[in-house]
Amino acid sequence: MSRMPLVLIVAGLLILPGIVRAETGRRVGQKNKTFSVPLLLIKPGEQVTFDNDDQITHNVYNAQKGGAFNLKAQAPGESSTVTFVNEGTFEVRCAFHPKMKMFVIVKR
Amino acid sequence: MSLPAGSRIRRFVRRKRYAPMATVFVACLSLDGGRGSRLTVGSASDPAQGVVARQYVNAYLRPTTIPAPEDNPYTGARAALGKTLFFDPRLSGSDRISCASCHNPALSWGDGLPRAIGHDLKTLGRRTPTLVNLAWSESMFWDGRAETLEEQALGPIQAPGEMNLELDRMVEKISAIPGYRESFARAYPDQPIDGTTVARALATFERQIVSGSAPFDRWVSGDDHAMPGAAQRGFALFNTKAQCTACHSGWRFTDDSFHDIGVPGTDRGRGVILPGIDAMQYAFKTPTLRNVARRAPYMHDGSVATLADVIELYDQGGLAKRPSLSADIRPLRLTSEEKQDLVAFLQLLTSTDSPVAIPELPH
Repeated sequence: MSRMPLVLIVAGLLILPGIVRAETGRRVGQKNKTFSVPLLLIKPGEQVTFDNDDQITHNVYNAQKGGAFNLKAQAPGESSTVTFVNEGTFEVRCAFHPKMKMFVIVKR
Repeated sequence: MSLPAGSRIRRFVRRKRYAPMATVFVACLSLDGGRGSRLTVGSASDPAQGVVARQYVNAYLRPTTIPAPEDNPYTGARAALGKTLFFDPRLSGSDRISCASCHNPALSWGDGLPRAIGHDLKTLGRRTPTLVNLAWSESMFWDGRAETLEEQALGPIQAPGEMNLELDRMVEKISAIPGYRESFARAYPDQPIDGTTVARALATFERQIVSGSAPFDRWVSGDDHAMPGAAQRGFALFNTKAQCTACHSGWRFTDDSFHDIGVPGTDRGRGVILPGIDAMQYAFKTPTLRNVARRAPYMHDGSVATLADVIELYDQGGLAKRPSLSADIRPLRLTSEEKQDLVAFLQLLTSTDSPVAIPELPH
């Protein structure tokens, strides 16, 4: 398992409906302390909107060079948009809830 | 499209693949309508509270297995080695401090002190956190600076203020003990004695530290007499008016989240790790509430003496009203009876665990 090519794992995720919805919307929900998708594939310059569909506050951020952003404390019902300019693989997290993780892969 | 490889994303994707299986398992447990339908909260004349119990109780079912990372699966030899290392004071620069000096199993894997005592008997800045149920956690230390038990294990050993033993010296000391050489050969064949295998053995042992069945669990399982009315009312409040489950959720009674809950002080906690995020200033990890009645005093700095005082702090919406104060921390307007009911409930999260046998150390 540990040597399984990652591309096969991602391919498996892509064919599971509801797991990855890179084809439409560029919106990511936050519900029950979970991002609505674990992985998003986009192109440089595309925007992603993070919706707080939860009953509690979230704080979406990325701390990596080339993709760092901080959407700050986001109250229930609020939405915030971030533009991914650079190529790369970015781990998006909630500062409050360490188990909330997803990846945004930006590639031409 | 090719995907950049990396251990973090690999672990993450792997975990997600198994999530549906876990969901099915939990759903099967939840289908036990006979057990759930007999659960009640408060008096029989208050059916509304009974509805509350049925709504929430399935969120507290305990898991049946202990997870472990794929690169460090459980074996008895690893757990036994980790336990020996955990209790061995030779893992400190002074030969006087072991992991168990602070994480004392007789004190619910803490030390009962407001703030820990480290090398040269100096008082440290924070309270010793308990080790119970960390196998399910993804953030370690009060500030979450390690994400796994393997990452965490060597930190206190090397910290000058804590166990004060450099990694090279630790490996040298352990390798010089024949009994350890044999134990490592059994636990990690064909691998050297080094920081990695020491950390993995310690983590394997620490994953086995799981709080046992408490009166609350017996009540969840259908024993109506396991929790008296006050505790049942406290459980209802815990899930509703007191809003405790915003963070203290699930069977461990924590989601491992970080919040500034208004404890006065200058320690920036998670804010040191994430300095650019305002909400993380003065934020600390949400601790488990399992066996919480046995772990006074409370908070990251031991500044709150009793569970009643903890409830009082939350009822006031925190004591330090800073910009970073969590938006979810607000005055609760609990009555004095409601506060007592909450404490009554928290006390019944205490399990009667078997005493831990101290291992004989190798020579």
